[in-house]
Amino acid sequence: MLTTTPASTARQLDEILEQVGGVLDIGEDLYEIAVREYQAVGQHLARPASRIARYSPQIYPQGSFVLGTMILPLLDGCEYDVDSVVTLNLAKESITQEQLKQLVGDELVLAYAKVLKECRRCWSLKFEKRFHLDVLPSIPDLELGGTAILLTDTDLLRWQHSNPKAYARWFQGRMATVLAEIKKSMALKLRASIDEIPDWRVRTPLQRVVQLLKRHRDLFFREDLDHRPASIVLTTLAAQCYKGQISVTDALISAVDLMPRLAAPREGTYQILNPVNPLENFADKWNEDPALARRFFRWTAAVKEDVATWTSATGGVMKLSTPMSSAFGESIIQKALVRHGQSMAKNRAAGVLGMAVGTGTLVERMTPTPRAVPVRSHTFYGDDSVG
Amino acid sequence: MIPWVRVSIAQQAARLRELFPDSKLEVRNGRLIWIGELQPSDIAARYFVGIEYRLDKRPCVYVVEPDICPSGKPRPPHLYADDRLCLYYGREWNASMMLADTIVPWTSEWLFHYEIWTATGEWWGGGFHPPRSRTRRNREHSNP
Repeated sequence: MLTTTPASTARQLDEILEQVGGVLDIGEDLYEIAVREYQAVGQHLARPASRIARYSPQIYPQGSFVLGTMILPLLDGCEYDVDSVVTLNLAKESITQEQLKQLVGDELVLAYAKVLKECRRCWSLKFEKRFHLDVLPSIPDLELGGTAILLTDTDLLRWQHSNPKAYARWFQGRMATVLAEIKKSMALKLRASIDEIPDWRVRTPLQRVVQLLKRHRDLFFREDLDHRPASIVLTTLAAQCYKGQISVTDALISAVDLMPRLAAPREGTYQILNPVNPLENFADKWNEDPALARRFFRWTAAVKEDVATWTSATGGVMKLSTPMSSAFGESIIQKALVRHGQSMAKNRAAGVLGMAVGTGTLVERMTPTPRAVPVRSHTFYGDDSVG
Repeated sequence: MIPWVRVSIAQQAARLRELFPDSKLEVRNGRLIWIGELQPSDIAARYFVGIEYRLDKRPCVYVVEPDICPSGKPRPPHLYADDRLCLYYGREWNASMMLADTIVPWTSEWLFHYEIWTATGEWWGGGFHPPRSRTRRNREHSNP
């Protein structure tokens, strides 16, 4: 993914956090493969010979894949988990949840028998290329209308209300201005037009913050992943906290500050409401088991402490890499730092590197900085006195 | 080829002072000694760097503080045997160039990549080692 280097200052912590997000992210190649695969599933389900073709099946991705907040999972063989929804045009009264799931499964098995697995709410297709595609069967929610859908769930008797498209629109709305700004500066840099840069190739500080929080959470709760705070909780709170910061560090600081306040109980109950369906409380489970809430607050306090450590570190990258490795994982930090070094080398090769007067700090000359002199080309040589 | 004009020690000193007003500078008997503080990035450590220069010699650059090759730790790449930094190759630098506009930013860049190297073991600043010197260095390493 393209990175979103901040325009205002040469904040290197931002760049490292950006790179961490980039290392965790699904990557452009895999993203495109995943898109092709879910589209192929859609074509298979809607082909003329399909027994569900008459219900005009529509498939679309949902969750972190659409929000651009996907990260490498700790478990599942480190496979990305791409969620999709298939909606069949059927009325709730005409079919049971079990029948709906079976209808979709019966069609999927014809083309994907070898890679198909049944899960509680969905069918999962395992692709060799480091990801699996979950397909959630659904029908339109005619009572709520719009893009609302009803999902199956073998553990629950009632149909589950959902509206992933509306949630994605809400999330994108929280970062729309920043996204437009980033695309504009990116277009300028790449000498391209804004229309040539698809949204999915860009990551805003909000998306990076969600990725960083998710990864931090996964490592923090690695002994008990089943009881970690849900991604939807993190994503919703982080998006509610986001005020259009251009710096990932600033956005992260404000998120760890505000999230515990937003999540605090109101009139004795925890309420993290679905922004597009206030009847749904993402914190329902916390009210049943307050230990879950305590875990969440313990974790946000830990993130806050970690961010403070990173922002106050003064001993250089080597002093930063240890605390960041315990937060995000050593291999992730190593890769991020290597990318950080590569990007500096690339800037010098492109002739956009400058050195700030007075401090010697290296800056990208395209960004407005205190007076800087250009860094001209040279070659670090060996240890021989020929130099 | 365009003939280049050698920059005088006084001009070098003036430019260093202009870009780094807080640095220490001494010129004695045709020899310039500059000690300045560089912070290659805003999360990098601060380094005291020394440059020694005479008109008829190549500039000599070293890190005064902190110790960049503490004993018992692997030796950073692109360092001469006497711990001076290897910043350029052949004619990339000549006496017509301002130290403050070439050697100093290259030093800052060296320090930036040195930090990444310390944390990852990988040097991404580019450059190369002559094969002969590498053998010698390896020998030195195996017999400390």
